[in-house]
Amino acid sequence: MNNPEINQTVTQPKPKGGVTEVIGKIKTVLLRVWGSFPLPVKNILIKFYANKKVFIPVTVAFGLIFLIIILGLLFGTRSAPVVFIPPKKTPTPFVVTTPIATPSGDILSVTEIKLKELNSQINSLDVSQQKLSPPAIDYDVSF
Amino acid sequence: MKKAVLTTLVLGSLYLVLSTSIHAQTFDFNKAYQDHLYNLTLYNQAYSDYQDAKNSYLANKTLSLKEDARQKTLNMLRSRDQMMTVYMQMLKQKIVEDKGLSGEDKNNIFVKIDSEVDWYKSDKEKYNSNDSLETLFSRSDEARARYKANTLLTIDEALVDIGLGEEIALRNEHEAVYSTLKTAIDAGVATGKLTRNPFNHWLTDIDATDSMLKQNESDVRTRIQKIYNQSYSPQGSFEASIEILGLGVPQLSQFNKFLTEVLNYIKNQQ
Repeated sequence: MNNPEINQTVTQPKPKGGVTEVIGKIKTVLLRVWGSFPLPVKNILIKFYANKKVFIPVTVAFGLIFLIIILGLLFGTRSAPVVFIPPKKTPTPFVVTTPIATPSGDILSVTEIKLKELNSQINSLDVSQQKLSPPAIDYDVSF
Repeated sequence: MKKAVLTTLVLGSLYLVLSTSIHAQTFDFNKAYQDHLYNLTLYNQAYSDYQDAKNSYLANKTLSLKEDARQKTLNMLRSRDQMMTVYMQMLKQKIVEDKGLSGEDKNNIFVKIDSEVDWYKSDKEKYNSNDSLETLFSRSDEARARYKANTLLTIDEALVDIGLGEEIALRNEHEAVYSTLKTAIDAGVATGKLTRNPFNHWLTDIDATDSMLKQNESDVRTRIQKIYNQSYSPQGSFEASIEILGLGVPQLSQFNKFLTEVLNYIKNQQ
């Protein structure tokens, strides 16, 4: 029980300046990040920090926002129902097509109408395209 | 500050109004056709003015009447180029909206139409306000040569393509109906309401009509290309192509009639 090795292990004091060391590490990281900023950005940030009338309100506002977000994440009710609003469908263009056959027999009536329409289109066909005939042009321009 | 806000508001409103009106004026065949009719009217008016000025000058050959005739000739020639440009664009738009022709068919004719449009646009730009009457006559002869050697052939091919596209579209629609009826027959046979007879024979005849239509379309395609073959007369090739196209109309009617008969038979059996 009186083993000196065990006592030594239990009572071994924490290294001095542990907090200081952590702060030092954070400082090193921050300095590295600061060093990576381009000079114009640094200047802007320095100016921003120097102007306390702007810096303090902005910092406080952002701090509050972050605080609210963190509080919301910690204590917010996650069971709130998520209302899913389906996106409105874009109206599809009206296309005249032959419907798919169904056992009900309605397709036959639709097909009958379709065939009549097609017959009317056949009867109105103008293969020589009279409406689009080239305009009459008099190329005999001389006098 | 107030001025800046007001200016922004006015410009914003103007932009909205203009963009809305531009969006509303979508270019389609109807618009292209109206443009063609409008430009045709302008050309006819310019031609009428040219004829009047020409006749006045020939009746009384004064310098001022000659100058008037020169100006009217110049105006007529410019209007003619413009009218031809719009006419070719109208034909193109008609083919753009065609549902029967394939992309390849369309591209083949578009290349030719675009070439004509470019020529007439360029020709119109070449006219100079100070061109002499002799220069104008010479320029008109160039246009005549172009029209005879290129434009007319392109127009003829485009018109045949338009007719062909209409027939193909109608055949496709009949084929869709035919497919629906065959499905209905299969369903009827499966449920015992219909028997295979007499459909087997009827479908064979309908298939034959469909094949004839396809063969006719192929013949039209082959025939119209002869318009560019110097061994054939362009006018003759055009007329022959139209004649073959005409053969497709009774075949389409036959297709329609057969399908209607099949449909009525199915309906009577149910």
